[in-house]
Order: sequence, then C-alpha cells, then structure tokens
Amino acid sequence: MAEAPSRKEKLVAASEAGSLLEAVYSAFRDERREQDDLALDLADLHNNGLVDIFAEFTKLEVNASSGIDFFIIRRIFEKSVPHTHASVGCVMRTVLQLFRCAGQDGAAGSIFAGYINFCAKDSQRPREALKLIEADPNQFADMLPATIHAGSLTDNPHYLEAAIRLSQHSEKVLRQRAITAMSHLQWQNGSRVPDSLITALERSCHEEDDEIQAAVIKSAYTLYQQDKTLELRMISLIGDAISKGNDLTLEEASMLFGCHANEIPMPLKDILLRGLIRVNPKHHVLLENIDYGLACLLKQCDNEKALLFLEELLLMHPQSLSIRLFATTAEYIRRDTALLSRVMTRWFLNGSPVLGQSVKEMGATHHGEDLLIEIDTTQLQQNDSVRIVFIARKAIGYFFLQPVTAASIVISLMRYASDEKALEELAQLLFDPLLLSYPGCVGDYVKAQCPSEAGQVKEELKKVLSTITCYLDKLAGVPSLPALHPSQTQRESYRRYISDLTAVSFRAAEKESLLSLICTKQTLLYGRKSIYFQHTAAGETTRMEAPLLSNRVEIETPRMDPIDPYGLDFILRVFRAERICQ
Amino acid sequence: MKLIIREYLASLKERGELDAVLPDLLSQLGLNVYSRPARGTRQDGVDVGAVGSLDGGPEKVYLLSIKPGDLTRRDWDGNSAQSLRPSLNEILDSYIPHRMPAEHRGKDVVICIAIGGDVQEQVRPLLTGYMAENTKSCISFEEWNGDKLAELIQSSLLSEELLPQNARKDIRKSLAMLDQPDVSCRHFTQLVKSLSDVDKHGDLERVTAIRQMSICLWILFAWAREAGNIEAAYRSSEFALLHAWPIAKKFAGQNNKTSLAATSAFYSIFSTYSQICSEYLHTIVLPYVGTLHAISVAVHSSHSIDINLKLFDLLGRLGLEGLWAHWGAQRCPKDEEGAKQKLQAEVISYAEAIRQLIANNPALLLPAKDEQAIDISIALTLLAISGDGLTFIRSWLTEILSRAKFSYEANGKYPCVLSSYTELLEHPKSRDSEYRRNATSASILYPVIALWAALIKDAQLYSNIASLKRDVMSHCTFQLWYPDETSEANYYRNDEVHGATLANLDFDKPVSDFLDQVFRECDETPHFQELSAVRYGWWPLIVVACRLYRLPLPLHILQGLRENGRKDCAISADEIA
Repeated sequence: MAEAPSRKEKLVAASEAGSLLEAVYSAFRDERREQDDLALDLADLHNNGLVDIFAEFTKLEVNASSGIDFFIIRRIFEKSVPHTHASVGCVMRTVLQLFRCAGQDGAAGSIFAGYINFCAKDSQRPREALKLIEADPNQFADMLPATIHAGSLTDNPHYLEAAIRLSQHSEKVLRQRAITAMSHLQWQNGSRVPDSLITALERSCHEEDDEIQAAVIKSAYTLYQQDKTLELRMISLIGDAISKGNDLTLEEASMLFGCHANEIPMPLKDILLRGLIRVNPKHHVLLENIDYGLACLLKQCDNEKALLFLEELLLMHPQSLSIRLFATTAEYIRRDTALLSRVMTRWFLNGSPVLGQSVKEMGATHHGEDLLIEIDTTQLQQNDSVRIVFIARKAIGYFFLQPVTAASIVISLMRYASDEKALEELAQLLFDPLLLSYPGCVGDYVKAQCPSEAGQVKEELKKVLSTITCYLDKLAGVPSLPALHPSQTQRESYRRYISDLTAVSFRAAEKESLLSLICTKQTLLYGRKSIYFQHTAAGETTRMEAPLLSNRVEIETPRMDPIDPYGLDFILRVFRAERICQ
Repeated sequence: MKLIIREYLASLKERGELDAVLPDLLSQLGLNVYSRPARGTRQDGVDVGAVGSLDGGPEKVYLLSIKPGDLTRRDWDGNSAQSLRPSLNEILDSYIPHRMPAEHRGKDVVICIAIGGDVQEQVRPLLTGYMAENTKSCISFEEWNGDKLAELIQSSLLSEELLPQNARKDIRKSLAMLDQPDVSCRHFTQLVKSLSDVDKHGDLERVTAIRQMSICLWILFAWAREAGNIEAAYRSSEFALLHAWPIAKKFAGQNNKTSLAATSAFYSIFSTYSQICSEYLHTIVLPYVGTLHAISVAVHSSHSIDINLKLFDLLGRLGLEGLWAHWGAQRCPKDEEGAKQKLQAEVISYAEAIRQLIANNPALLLPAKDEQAIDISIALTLLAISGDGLTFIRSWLTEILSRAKFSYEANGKYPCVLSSYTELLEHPKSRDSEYRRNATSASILYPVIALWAALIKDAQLYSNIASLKRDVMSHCTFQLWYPDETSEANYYRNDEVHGATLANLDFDKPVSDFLDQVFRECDETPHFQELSAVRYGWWPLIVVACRLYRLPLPLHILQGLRENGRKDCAISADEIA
C-alpha cells in the first residue's frame, strides 16, 4: 500500500499544479496548531528551489475566489520569510505587494514583522534595503520604517543618522516615511534621544504636509516614551503639528489620545483636546479613539474637561454627531449616578437638541430596573423656577418613552423648587402628560414615592394621584359601547399592520443581536424541551435535554398616543425644542 | 321568518313602537286607517281605528288597543293609565257610542287587543271572561298577540310573493351579523336596494315597498337594540330613508289615497330613522360627551386612526341630528309654540354637545381624512345656527388649520385623501415628496375652512389658508362641490357620480371676492333648489346623503349665512336653508 504523501510533497505537487496557496490554506486548516511548521516547510521548500514562495504569494489577493483567507495565509508567509534565503529586493517587493493588497485594514502592516525578522538575521540586509529604498523611493519608501527598525536593532547610530538624513530628502514620500521611521528606531534601555533627532523632527514640523505632521506626532510621542526628559519639547512639537495638520494628523492625535490616555501627561491631553475639537464628524475611527480617550479621562480626577470637550464637540456638529458614537463614554456616564445627574441637568439646561438627545440615548441604553435620575442641584439656583420647570419639560420631552425616569427627574425638581407656582407647574407636568399617558408605571412609581416625600411635595403628589384616580374612575364608568368599536375588518387590518411592524423590527433587532452571531438558530415547533447530543473530546456523545423557557417583555404604551397623537407629539416636540432666552 | 318577526314584536318595549308599526300593517292588509296614534292623546281607549274587510269578509270597524310586550296582571287592570281593561271599558262605554265617526256607525265593530308578546297565563281567564261578557252581536273581540301580528306582517308585507327569496336571506343575514355592523349593513343595503327597485312598478307596489323597508328597518332596529349594538341600525336607517325618498317624492303634493298612504309610509321610515338616531345619540354619545376622553377611550382601539374616524363620524351624526331638530322647529305650526321651543332647545343642546365632544376629545382637532370636512361642515352649520357658536368656530378651525399645517410640515399624520383603512393606518408611509403630494393632491377641507373664515369674517384664518395654499400646498387642488342637473337622480341613491367641482379657487383675492366667486355658482344654477328634498321642504335629507355618501355639503345651505354676513350682523338660525 502506497504511503500517504508528506505535507511537503503535497505542497510541491500543488505548486506544480499552480495551486500552492490553496494547498497551504488547506494544510493550515487541517493542522491548525502547526502553523510554524508549515511556515518552516515552505521556507525549506523555497530554499531548496522546489517552490518559489515569493512568486506564489505575490498572486495572493484579498478577495480571492478560492475561499482562501488572505490574512491567515499572509501570516504563514510572514512566518516563512525570516527563514528564507531570498534576495532583499525580492522579499521587499513581495512584502510591499502583500502590504498594499491589505488596503486600509488595521492588520495591513503586520507583514512587516516578517520582513524585520528577515533583515535582523543579517546586518547587511537592512543596509542593502536602505540602498534600494534610496535608489527607488517611489517604489520602496513604505519599507523604510521597517528597515530602520530592523537596522537599528544592531546599529542604532547608523540608522538614526539615516532617518535624520532622509527626513530632509528631496522626495516627499521618503521624507514622510523617514519621520515615521523615527518612531521605529530601536534603542538600548535608558538611552537618551539625541538632540539632533528632535531638531530634525522640529524642522519637519514646518512642512505643510498632513502626513508629515501625523508622523511627527507619532514619532514625538514614541521618542518621549524613550526619553521622558523631552516632555516639554515633545508637547510643543505635537501642539505645533496638530495646529498645522488635518485629518491624518488628527487621526494620529486621536490614536494617541485614545490608546495612551492613561499615560499621557495632562498638558498633552489639553493640547490633544484642543486639536481634536476640529475632528471631522464623518471620521468614525477618530471618534472611536476620542471616545476611548474621553472615557479614560472621565475616570481620572478631572472629568469636567472630558464633559466640556464632549459638549462642545456635540454642539459643533448637532446634525452629524450623536452620543451613540461615544458609546464607551456614554456608558461610563450612565453608570456613574452623580455624573449622570450632572450631565442631565447641565445638558437639559443648555436646551440644545443634540445634548438633550444625547441624554436620552444614554438613558435608553439602560436595562433592567427603571433608571431613576435626580437633578444636580449645583447646576441650578433654587429660586430659578423658570429653569426648574424648563428641565422638567426637557425630561418629559426626552424621556417620554422612559416615563419613570422622567417622573423621577420631575419629582426631584419638585423637592428643589422653592416657590409654590413652580411646584404646581411641576405637579401638573407630572399629571399631564406623564400620568395621563402612563397611569400604570408612573402611577405605581408616584404611589411608591409619595410616602417618602415630605411637606408640599407630598401634598402635590397626593393631589395628582387623586386627580388621576378620579379621571380613571370616570372613564371606568363608561360602559362598553360596541357601536363605537372598530369593525372586525379594521381590527384585522390593524392586527396585520402591527404584526408586520413587529416582524420588521424583530428582524432588525435580530440582525444586530449578539446571539445571532454566536448561536445557531433552530425553530422548534413542538414540545417543551430540546434534545441534543454533546460530543466529548474522547469521541463519545452524551444525550442532553434543555428545557425551553419563555421570554416575555411588557411595556406600557402611552395611552394618550391614540387619543391625541398630534397633541402629544406636538407638546413633546415643544418640550424638546424650546430654549431659554438669555 | 315568522320567528324573526315574532322576536321583533316581542322586543318592542315602548308603547309608541308597536303603535308605529300597526297602522302600516293595517293599511297593507287593505284597511282604511282613519285614526292614528298620537302620543299622549288616546281616544277613549282606541290607539288605532281602521275600517275595511279582512279576508274577504264584510266591512267592519277595527278598534285597536295596543299593549307592547306580554300582557301581565298589572297591565290588564293596574293603576296605570295604559292598563288594558279600563281602555276596553272606555271603548265600549265612550268611543263606540259617542266618538265613532258617523260614517262608520252601524257597522260591526271588532275590538282588537294588540299585544307585542303573549297573554300571561294568570291573565288569560280574566281576559277571556271579559271578552265573553262584552261580546255582542255587533261587537266582537279579537286577540292579536305577537304570533298573530307576526303572521299578519309576514303574509301582508314579507310574504314570498312580496319579498323575494334573496331579500329574505339579506334580512336574515343582516340580523345575524349585527355585532359586525359593516357586514350587517352590507346585507341590509342589498335588501333596501332590491325593495326600492320599483321604478317600473305601479303605485301600490311602491307604497308596499316603502312599508316593507319600514318594517324591515324596524325589525333590524329591534334586533340591534336587543343585541346591544345599534350601529348597523343607524347606518341602515340613513340608507333606507334616502332610498325611500325617491319613491315617496313621486307622491308628494298629491292628495289621493295612495299618495297619503305613501306619505304615511315614508313618515314611518322617517320616524324609525329618527328614533334610531335619537337612541344612538342619547345612549352612546350624549351621556359621555362631557367627560374628558370618555368617547375616545370607548372606541376601544390602540390606534389613533380608529378614534379619529369614529369621532368625526359622531361629530357628523350630532350635527345632523341638530339640523333635523332645527328643521323640525322651522316646520312647527304657529300654534305649536311649545313643540317649537322644545326643538329649538334641542338644537342648542346638540350644538353644546358638539362643543363638549370637541373639547373633551382632542382627536377632533385634526382630521385624518380630507373628507372629514363633510362632518366638520355639518357640525359648523349647526354651531352657526345655534346662535353663539362663532367664537368656538373660530378657535376650532384655527386649531385644525394650525395642526394640519404643522403635521404636514413635520410629516405627522396630516389630513390626506387616502381612503382605504390600511393606507390610513400606515399614513404617512413615506417622507418622500411624491407620496406627500399624492396624499394631499386635493382638498375640500382647506376651502371649507377658508369659506367659514370668510363667513365669520376671520381675516387672519382666511389669510392663513391663503398662505398655506401659496407656500405649502401649491400642488393641492383646493375645491368646492355643487350639485348639477344629474344630482336629483343620484343624490338619494348614490347611483352615479354627480355634481360639478369648482377647482380654481383664488385665495389671494379679498375675502369678499372669494365669497362672490363661490356663491356665484349657487346663484348661477338652479339645481340645488330643484332638488326634490329642497322643493318639498325636506332639505336635511341632502345633509343625510352628504354624510352617508361622503359628498361635500352644498354651499347653498349656507347661502343665508352669506346674506347675513353682507348685512354685517350675527348669523341667525333662520338663515340656514
């Protein structure tokens, strides 16, 4: 009986058949844990002239129809490269090809790790690479940071000098990469960064080029990490770069703000915040970075800076920005009761729709028990009844679909209101539209809250409870009047309409559900248990039963919606839109 | 069929209800009814007096003493003025000797004890004994209980010869589906259509058709009342009334026996219609108009469109009932000042009910459908004639316009020309301009508001309409409708589209020019005045038709207000129609 071909034999055969990449991918899938061995096999086959992995991997495409995962197979190549005896130029070309092929993917640059390891094996390789880069900057400029990285591992001064020299090169692309390369220089522990390098960076900072300014930021901060004595110069340098740069610069700044939020000194944070306020609201990646940074800033002692920045940013872009783009920050605010009170009070007082909407969206992410919010009295003056009522109207306008939250704000305002008229106005707002629309949940909340209140607030709460009870009693006195009911056809049409609406919203929710990503969907038509078999590592199966559980959610729909849809909608719009004239 | 009729007769609770049916029945049986029941005036025990021959026998005088429901011991000889035994005594002691019309004296007399239900067992011996004791050669007694009356009705009005099989099916279905008014009405309208298809028949058949419609309507009403839902009866009564009119109008102004019978039969339908409307409003609407949101909640729906549709429907019904009361007051002879004042008070109370309905049910501040302008027009007309409604009209219309404009601009539930319920549920389905333009491609609502703004001299409101048309709804065809020469033939049965539309309304001109423009049309054509309902003094029938068939209210009804406006004094009730 013929022996099964070895992996190498299979790879060679595949290469001859023109399907090496498919064979590599197939081998990877079969032997997941032996990725390194596979890489070594490939390198060995290449070194023995049996396959040309550089030629083969040059054919690799991101969206290959063969079903090959680009990044997995590129990773195998990346691991093979250091073990090959290929020419530097050949390696550079293939690496560049695979780098560019990855486009804007965050993992695009990981391929350089293989190249760096390749160069690190022979100190001549980075030198040769540097020559090639200088000779043809348009083709090889992108290889400069990795080359400097690899070279500086063994000869820092030489490549430091090269980086400084090339930062003044006549070719812009090489200048750009040289400045980036400065952040890739490898230093011995505790080494000081020479002044010449900082000077070179400062010189580059005068260039009116977004990419260069972005690189200046990155390199300046990396060098600061190497040598903390550079703080002042580095902050000044980054400040200059941000003020001159555009989107790329801001992206680099946002990465710095987001990824190093816990390390960067406060003066630098101030500079970054000043610069990042210019962020383009369409650039969601930048906003994500800023979000992480803000969330970290909020956790630190001075959260006012983060709030002011967020507030200003939202106000600058009311149409295009939303707190949803700052999910981490919003979640942090929502979890901190005091902070949420402060944000709610301040942002509602501001009156701007974007801030009001942001408070609403923060509240909407709350699940479980009703979210209760108190006002932050430090943001208000007790005798300012106009503003007290104004906040109550905002709370109702924005939290109408979370009526208990709205009611909790109104009642907390009642506690704070000093004059009788304001108190009555607040009680009236509690009645109409909150209790009128939600006699159930708001009624229960007010009833539960009433005994713990005191003085006039308690009296007003009793009054509104009595008013709503009287109103509901009168309605309960109306007998069933079938002559007024919608016809059977209308009821059926309505059921269909609601069913369609529900199905659409269910589908939309399901689409974004985490469960749909991690679970397999099965529809069980009968029974109260699901029978399944669990496979163990030993190849055995165990019969299991999972009982089926029902999942039910109840919501109280606002009863005024069908009775006076226009009136309700209008008043909520007014509450949301109104501003206080200064 | 007999069981249905029997059930219907048994359910007639009020004395006036059974009274209303029997004269038609007797007439249909071939008797000449010379004395009809009048509320509160019983003629010495006789509710109905008729003369003639039944079943080919000799001519006799039939004196009916009517008792609705079962005959109990208390009804037989209790303290009530309506007790049967005293009534029979009065007939024997007073009516026959002294009150019988001279031309019928000497004829045999049959005293008919008409009972909607049955004679209860404990009364039976008393009644039999009384009848045996008082029977004489020329005076006899007959017991017309529910069974006998049902048989008479069936044989004379609803027999297979007179009521085709399909029509009998329709009435059975309409009764069976009373809890689904739409379905019930569909069958009843089929029945009415088949009954009223008498253009090619003779006068007697026509009279019979009206009577059949009347009795069928009564049966429907009685059953609906028992079922606790008179919605189908209400809608069917409007339909039956309007279909009876084209038959009855042929006899209008004539004084022969057939004409009088036809007029009487039409009055029966009208009476039933009035009773149904009155019962509907007094049991379902009026008790709750003063309670905040009560009627909105009573619609029992989670969707605003159901509440909106029902409330505007009720608005039209209230307005129409008020207009009938106004019409009744107008027709009251001078010597019936008390009745006139009572009707005028009704007009005011219906107007007040409308004000309360609107104040307590905010859905009435924004129509969902443009055609709800018809109900608004009816209500406005009543409010105007009730005397002090101008301030309310002004604020109501201003609010409607403001809400409609805002809703349109905010893409809310703005008034639209969509008609299907499903479309209305989904409205506004889209924000795109094409949908919005289609949904508001035409309007009678805004012209009606403009017209009323002009009539009540509210320049601001009028100018708001003008700016709405100019700035927001330039694509919308604002229009008003007028009857034309085909309207008389189609108004009451809604067979064909009729009338003419004035679409080029110019709101940028002064108010007076606008009024000139829209009322000139009224002056230029005689078609409204030539409508038989108007000619014979039954103009509210036009309003009924407009409400039922969803036609705009003709401006002619408001011409008086315009004249009044010219004189620059308050609108008065006399100016309407």
